[in-house]
Amino acid sequence: MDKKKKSQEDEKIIDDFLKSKEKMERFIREELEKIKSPIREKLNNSIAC
Amino acid sequence: MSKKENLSIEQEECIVELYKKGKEIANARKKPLVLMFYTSGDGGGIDENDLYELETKLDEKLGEQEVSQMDVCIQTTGGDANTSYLLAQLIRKYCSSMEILIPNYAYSGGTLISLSSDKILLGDTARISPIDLQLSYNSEKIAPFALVDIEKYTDFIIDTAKKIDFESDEAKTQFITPLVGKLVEEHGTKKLGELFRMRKLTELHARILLTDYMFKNCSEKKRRIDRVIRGLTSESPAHDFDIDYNMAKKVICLNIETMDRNLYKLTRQLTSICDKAKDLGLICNFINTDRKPFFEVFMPEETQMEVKDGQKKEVTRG
Repeated sequence: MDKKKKSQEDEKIIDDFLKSKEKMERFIREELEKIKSPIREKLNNSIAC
Repeated sequence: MSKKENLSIEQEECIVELYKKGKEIANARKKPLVLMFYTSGDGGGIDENDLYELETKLDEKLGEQEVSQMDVCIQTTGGDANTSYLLAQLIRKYCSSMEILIPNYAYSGGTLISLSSDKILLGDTARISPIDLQLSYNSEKIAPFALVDIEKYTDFIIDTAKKIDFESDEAKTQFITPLVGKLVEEHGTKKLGELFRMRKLTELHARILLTDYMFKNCSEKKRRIDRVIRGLTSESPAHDFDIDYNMAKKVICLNIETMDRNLYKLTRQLTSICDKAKDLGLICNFINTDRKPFFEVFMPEETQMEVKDGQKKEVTRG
């Protein structure tokens, strides 16, 4: 795919993907630790299924 | 990597291909498609954080509306048992009817999530698995062990003891005691107790999902639910056990069908593109030691999508 020949639709897909990825990574870094369950933190073992 | 100018042509092509394929499936099925793609064998298990990530993604794409029908395409080897149940309930908050698409596999926690669907659609060679529990040690480098393995070990002791003609009960006890002692010594009474106690929880989770969703309108609800739960827990021969369509339908009695050829092909292509996107570092990147899953919601384009109260809503985004 020639970068200059990408359609507007393709450009939008790539832009939206990158924005969403950046937003999610920021959310994971800044917010997730604050809302983690305190009960889980106490457990030494995890029950997997 | 996050800036557009840093992307290679191959990466750009892969992103476009992924989103077009997702949309193609949503258009073909005329309903939103939620993709839940986890990597296997390298820290990509179901984790508590996934709840908030999926909620954020669903809110972003669906807002607060509850759609009438939705598909969920899933690929996972499982993970945290509680989170699997909570993810299933979270998805169902956004739709009144849901079908699960499994092109390759949805093991363990993935199978549990599937129980919240109205129907499971399985690829020709796709597999699910028992939902039996495993205990993983967070702080020690010990492989996880499954409750069903312990039960099979105790079955082995009992069966073997029956086959031997002991001279007395005392001799029988002398045979059994060291074998049971070895098990307790290896895992500890507390952890063994915890695992047996937690089985009740996973059975409860499965029962709630089957009652409220898969067998909601089934006339033989109790019998079928009991059959499914037994088939996916105590009657399964092992935790790592592949269940194919025939076994899931005829033996375990799940509400399950095989996908039509076109849907199978499309969903297989979608997961292959996800694998490629992962290899190119676009999705499922590591955060600390865990690989993140890739969640996305693909909306059908320019079609009429029913919302919960039966009204029709124009879908122009996606």
